[in-house]
Amino acid sequence: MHTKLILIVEDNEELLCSLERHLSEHGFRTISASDGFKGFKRFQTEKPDLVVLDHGPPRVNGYQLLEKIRHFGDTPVIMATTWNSHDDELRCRYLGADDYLPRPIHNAVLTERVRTLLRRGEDRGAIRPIHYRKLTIDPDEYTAFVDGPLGAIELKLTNSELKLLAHMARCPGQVFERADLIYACFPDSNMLLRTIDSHVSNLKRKLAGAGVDGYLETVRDVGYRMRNLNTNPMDA
Amino acid sequence: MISSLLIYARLIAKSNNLERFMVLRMESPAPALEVQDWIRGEPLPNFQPGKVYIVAFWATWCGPSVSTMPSLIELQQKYKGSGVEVLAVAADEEAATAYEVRGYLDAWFTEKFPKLNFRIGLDCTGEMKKFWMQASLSMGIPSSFVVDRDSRIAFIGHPAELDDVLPKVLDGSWRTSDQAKTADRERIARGREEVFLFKVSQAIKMEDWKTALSVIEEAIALMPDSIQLRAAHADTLLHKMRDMHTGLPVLRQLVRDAIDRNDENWLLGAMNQLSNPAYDYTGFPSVERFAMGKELSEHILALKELKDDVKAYSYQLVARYYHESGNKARAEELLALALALVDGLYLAVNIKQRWVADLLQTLANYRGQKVCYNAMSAVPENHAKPKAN
Repeated sequence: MHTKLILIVEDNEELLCSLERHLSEHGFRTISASDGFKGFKRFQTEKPDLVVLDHGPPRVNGYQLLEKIRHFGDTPVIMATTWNSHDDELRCRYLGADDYLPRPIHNAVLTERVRTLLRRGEDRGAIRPIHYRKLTIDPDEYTAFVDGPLGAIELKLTNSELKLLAHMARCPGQVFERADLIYACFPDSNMLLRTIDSHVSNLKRKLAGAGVDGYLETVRDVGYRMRNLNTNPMDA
Repeated sequence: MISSLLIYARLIAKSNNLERFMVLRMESPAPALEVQDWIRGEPLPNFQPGKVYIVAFWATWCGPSVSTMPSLIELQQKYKGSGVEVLAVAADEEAATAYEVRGYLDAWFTEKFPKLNFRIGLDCTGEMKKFWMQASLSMGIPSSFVVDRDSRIAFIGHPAELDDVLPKVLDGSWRTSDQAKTADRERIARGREEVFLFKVSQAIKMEDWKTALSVIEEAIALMPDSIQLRAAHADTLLHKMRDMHTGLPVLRQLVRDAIDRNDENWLLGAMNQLSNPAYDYTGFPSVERFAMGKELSEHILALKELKDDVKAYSYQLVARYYHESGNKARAEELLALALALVDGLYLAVNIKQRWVADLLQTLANYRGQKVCYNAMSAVPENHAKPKAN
């Protein structure tokens, strides 16, 4: 018996019932939402293990919702689209969809994809080290190293600092609001927004001390991000 | 083939009638300001001649919308002396009553943007959405409109474009420029395409095939150069309705046109209909399918100057054809090339890992054995095969 929770965001009631019934018959728990706005609320409150997302539900469309979900972490997402075009597929890839299924969706195929992605997610459970320029963060080992001219320099980070750094380093260039960071890294805490400022300030200082100043930057009136240095290959 | 061409030809005449629909566009008189409630700033009952207004549609739940707020604040600050006034319209907030929305927005702005320097209006009745967004075929937020000094629309588009557009509106060069005319024409074409595809999607979800086909054919007549619509036509007939008799001639014509045009979008769009692992091809004549696949593959691989992401996608797509047609070595070679291309893309780590993992999985499935790439590995999986409805 699976205990994995699947969120289905779909505005067509008939399709939704069919998917829910099939997934339930195969031992998954399901929750659903008829539009993207409600879908995101359910994602935030119920933390599903996987999301099946229609690309065009009302209000927040599937692409917008995928972007928001990726803002909070690596929950697997299957995008169901009516049309099968390379533009759509590339867009889904760039936004971080794990799979892309054109309609009509065959329930057996979808269930198999759900199983596969959940298995891959578990394989990935031993999260690989995150590499960002000269920085290597291993969330499993609770370590972070900077590749210095004389060898690796270990950053002495607190658990909270490491979580924040790992979360932002997974998505260079993406701006995270303070509240997003609290939700993603410390979901069960009552942390104040300004505590994030304090952690980030410490992180900046420690990174600068290890010779990698400027990796982490403040975006005025919004939050923080790892600079997307990757966009400029000359900017090593 | 002839029947589908005749349908298109007949519909071209009919489609001209669609032009009677007045799409809000550059040079249109600005619609009325149907804002009932102003959360920030003094009420503005209507546009004042001689002033330039930026009307931005947004919502608190929309991340990209919220991200545009700081730049709108800067624009208001920078161009205040030139008679520019920014106003943002919250047109789609979630709350039971207008009173609740008002309270929520007030608190939200107090926390997020305490130094806001422009008006915020609330569209409780949906009139603004109807007469501005829907009338201009604007499908999503954030979206912005520039109302010129004569109260006519000068620009419709993403707020990120305002940095470039606004100075030209202010010096009077924008509306007569080729850049503006082309941008407006392309925006309307994209909007129409999206509206048509949305209508067809809704009909398909309801399995209302008659409506779906009627809308697609009408749309193709209006926009014969849209590969999205042409591919949607073949897709609907072959993969959704499973009507091989009508669908195969449409697909043949699509493949022929793609090869004649030798355009990446057309070639990839046509190939997608022939070689997608999520589709069931059991009803297809395999000899003809592989013949079309071979011709398309050769043209796709000969395309020059593709961007690396599109090239990687095209290798993955064509690899499916080679694998299915028995040339496994070529399929694996193309997947290896795609892996190297994706690995070299400048993408966020989590995004790139997903794509690499997908390619690696396909390679493992093709080889029937475990494959490794850098620190990642994949073992063959047994996927359920799609079956026709």
